[in-house]
Amino acid sequence: MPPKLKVEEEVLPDAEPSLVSGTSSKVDALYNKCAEAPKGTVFIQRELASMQIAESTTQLLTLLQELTDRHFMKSLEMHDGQPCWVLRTREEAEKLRQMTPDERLLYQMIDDAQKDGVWSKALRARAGLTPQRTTKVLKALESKGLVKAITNVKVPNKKMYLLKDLEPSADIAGGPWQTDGEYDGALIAAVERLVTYYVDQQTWRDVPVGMNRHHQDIEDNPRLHRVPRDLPTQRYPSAKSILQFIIDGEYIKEKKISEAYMEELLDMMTLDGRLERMSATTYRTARNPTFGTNGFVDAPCGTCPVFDLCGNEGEITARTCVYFAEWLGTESEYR
Amino acid sequence: MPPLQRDPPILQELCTLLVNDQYGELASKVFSVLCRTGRTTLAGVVRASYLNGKQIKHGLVSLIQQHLIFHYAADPRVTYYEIDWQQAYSLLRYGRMASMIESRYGPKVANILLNLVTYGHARIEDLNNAYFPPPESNNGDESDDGQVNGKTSAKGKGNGINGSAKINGVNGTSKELPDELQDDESHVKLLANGDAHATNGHAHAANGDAPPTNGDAPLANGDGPLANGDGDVGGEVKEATNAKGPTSKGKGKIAKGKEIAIEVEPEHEVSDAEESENNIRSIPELHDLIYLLILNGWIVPVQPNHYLSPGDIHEIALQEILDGQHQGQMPTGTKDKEALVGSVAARKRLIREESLAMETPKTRKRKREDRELDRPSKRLRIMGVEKWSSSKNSNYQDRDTVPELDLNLVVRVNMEKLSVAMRTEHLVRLVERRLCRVTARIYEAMLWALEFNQQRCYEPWPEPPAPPEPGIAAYVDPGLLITAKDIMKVLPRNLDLCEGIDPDFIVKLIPGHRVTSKGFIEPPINLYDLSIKEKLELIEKHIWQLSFDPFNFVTWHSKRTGQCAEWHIEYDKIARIMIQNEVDNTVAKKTDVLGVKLVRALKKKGRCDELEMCEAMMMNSNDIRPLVCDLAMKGIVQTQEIPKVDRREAKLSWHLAWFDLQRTREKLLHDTYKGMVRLMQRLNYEKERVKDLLAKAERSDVVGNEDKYLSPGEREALQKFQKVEEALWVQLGREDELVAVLRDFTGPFVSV
Repeated sequence: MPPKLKVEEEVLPDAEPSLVSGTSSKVDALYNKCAEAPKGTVFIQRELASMQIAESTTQLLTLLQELTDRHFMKSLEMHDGQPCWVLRTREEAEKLRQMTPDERLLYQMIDDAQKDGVWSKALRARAGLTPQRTTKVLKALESKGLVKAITNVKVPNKKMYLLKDLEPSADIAGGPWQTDGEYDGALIAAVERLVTYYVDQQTWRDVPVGMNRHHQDIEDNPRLHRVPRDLPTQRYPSAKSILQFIIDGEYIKEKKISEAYMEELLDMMTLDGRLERMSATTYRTARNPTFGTNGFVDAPCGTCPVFDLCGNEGEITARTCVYFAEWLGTESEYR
Repeated sequence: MPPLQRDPPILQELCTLLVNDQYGELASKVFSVLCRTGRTTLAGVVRASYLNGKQIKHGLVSLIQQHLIFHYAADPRVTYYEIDWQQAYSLLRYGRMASMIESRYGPKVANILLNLVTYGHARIEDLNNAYFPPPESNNGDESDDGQVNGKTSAKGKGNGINGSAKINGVNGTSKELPDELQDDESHVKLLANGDAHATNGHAHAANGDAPPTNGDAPLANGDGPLANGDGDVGGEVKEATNAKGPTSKGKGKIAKGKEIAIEVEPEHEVSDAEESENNIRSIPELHDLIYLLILNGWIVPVQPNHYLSPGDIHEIALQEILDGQHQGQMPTGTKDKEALVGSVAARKRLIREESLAMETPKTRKRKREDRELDRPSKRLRIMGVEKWSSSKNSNYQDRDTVPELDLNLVVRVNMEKLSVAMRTEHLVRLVERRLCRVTARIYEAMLWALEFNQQRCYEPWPEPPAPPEPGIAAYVDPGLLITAKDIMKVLPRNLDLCEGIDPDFIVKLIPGHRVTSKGFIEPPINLYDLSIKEKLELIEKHIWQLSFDPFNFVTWHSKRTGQCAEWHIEYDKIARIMIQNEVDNTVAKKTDVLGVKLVRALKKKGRCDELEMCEAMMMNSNDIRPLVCDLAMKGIVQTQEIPKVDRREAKLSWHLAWFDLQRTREKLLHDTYKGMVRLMQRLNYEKERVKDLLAKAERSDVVGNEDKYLSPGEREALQKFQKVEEALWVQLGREDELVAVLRDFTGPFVSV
């Protein structure tokens, strides 16, 4: 177990730090060595030591400190407290070096939050800056193309910041169904159509009415009706199988839908009566997704806009009703 | 403020209109006085109205005879009168009841029922006399009445008076009228005015003679529809058969579905043979049919407690329990109070059951002349299904005996049973819509068989709910279990059981057939060749489909070894779903599908703020906000504002919306009543518009000779009016169906 080291990144003055002679090449060597690994690799001390660039642990740590100070590396801490490092690109490091201390401070906070983003108010509070100053600094960061502002779907008036090249986590952005904090109606409708089509196919079968009768050959297009397929309920479509169908068909690009989000959509579709839940996890389409009617709404009163104003006497009554007159084809009393 | 506060409560208005329509102005005046005053005494009624004492007494007596009001005298000197709202509303349903009876037991039975309805209640002997007038029971003015059975007029007035007078005298068990009304004998005049309305959307053509189309109800005064054989049993034909006049050259009307009334020429020329088939030919046959109705719960013996209002029954039961168990003191402990609620409910049930229990009538051996005494319809056997053999009335199945009813027995119709039948009808329609026609037929058979053991849709005084015991399923009355075997026996043999099932399942079950590319079964399966086992499998498949439907139409109960699975129906749960379904339908029509979506989302999630609604419906708040507003205005969803701080500030408050099924149910019921009132009011207005013409058409010399006395213009106007009238009655019947769903199938829900 290597000794526990806590390397904190310090805020350095803006000036270009002078390299300690003799170690400069080693710094570059270490950096280049690390850059060979895939981007975003996290290095722990053991790995860095195994690169055989530093001569001793002390030197290695000095080198790392050097790199960190010059923003070539970011030092982090693993979940068990072990230090680790991630490489930054040279351009990034350059940008960071050119920042004001305030900018750098905020940038680091935003960077720390990674995908979850930071609320602008929280930034201000933690950095101890005035609101005006915070806004200015964040604007500057945005214009440099380092961070971006997004809206939180759960709390729309909360402005969140996160690094430019990161996708906001689902918690903030609201999953695949939302774009920029708004539900993407077109996308949802398209997926709904796919789901309905698939589930329909799987759960109902069109057979001719009177399939068990001698049929005439003349009937090229016999009247069809739908009968439930002979399936146990567990084998009805579920979020999993529906999702599989959508993935296999490659209907949706760019967005990745997880099972939980699929479930959310199916849940919503049961609300407007297109899907019906058959068991805890399985669904079928409604045989007849339209709504029925009843005696009340069929009569003129059921949908009358002035129903609440209609009385036994007064301007609007059954005698003077224009809707009744239209419906029955008679005339109403004129008032 | 609601703009309508000046209007009287809506149910009161509706019932008054109905009473007016059926029993004339006097009865409805008295009825409306009672509506306004609530529970009151005779003196109270006199004070509250400008009618004189005699008129009021007439009115009260006729209302009592029709069971439209309760009366109760705790102190023998003061009798209180109170409206029976259920029964008053039920006036609208008599026609529907007749048509349901007809479809279950045939026209003869329906005819008996209609007659009973006209009387309100009747003694068996009076029914005997009505059908088979004894030669001596001549009241002078009706000597021309004892004609052929088929056309016998009811002798509305004469027999009516006789009847109830006798009832008062002879029947010691039930005191019909309070003493203060005893002197009033002429009341029955009013009764004869009554004519059974048939306001049914699903009409059947009237059997026998065609019902008259001309003539307006109130004018048919004096002729009860007691004519055997040509009562207008079927559809929405609302006038009583004008039995005295040469009946009907009119047209029977069949109204299908909505406002379009299709006129159909009825079978005018009913052959004599056919006609006599629909007539009751002997007193034993009459008794047999009456007993059939009693057994199935459609008619019940009249008991004194039928005159007690629910409040009085509660008081009586409570007092009995207090006296018996608590020494006349109200218990104080919480537990004791809870126990008291339970025992009062039990006591009320007991009072009710006691009154409904009727000893098995004497039977006698079937004689030779009884051979025509066959069950009126084949369908009747549906009711049979082994149930009778297990019940105490097993001797009824014995085909060698006929019941002999006590002549002094007084019977009335049981409207609660009609709710059960309406529920059946509604469920079958739902299944037809959601699954398939054949499945619906099978379901219908199940429901009909189960109806036998159901007096009412739900228990208004249930046991207090016991804490659920884990591992023990809820008890189901064995009388409410049914198997595929039971159903198979009653299904028509030509019903194509294969319809509505996945053909792949069928060819697997029955080898030697295949499914063509178009989905036909090749070669077709001959239904008569199916083995019993195969048939049972097919029926079970249908039942499983019913059970898997999200509505849960049936529930699997148990399977005894070597036997068919037993099923039961969870009526309460389904009733709730039906109500929700009607709410959804209404919302869908009033707003659009999005409204339904919101309602369902709120029902599922409970109280939601805007964001939660957005999440549930996957819509943006801008689209949801107007929707919530709209539905809140229509009274379908409720909104609520909870301030987070001690000021009321919109920004610092939660804005929640929620949906309560019970509230919406009440709101919708109220709206439906109001819609019905408007229909009735419109009908009255339409009548008013053609008042003169109607008066002419109803003149006794014109009836039957319309072609002769009415000009073509008048005939056309008359026809047009009849169409309008019919459309309104059909619509009224359909709204009544909605009322049944909303009100009658299950008790009030406890709002959370």
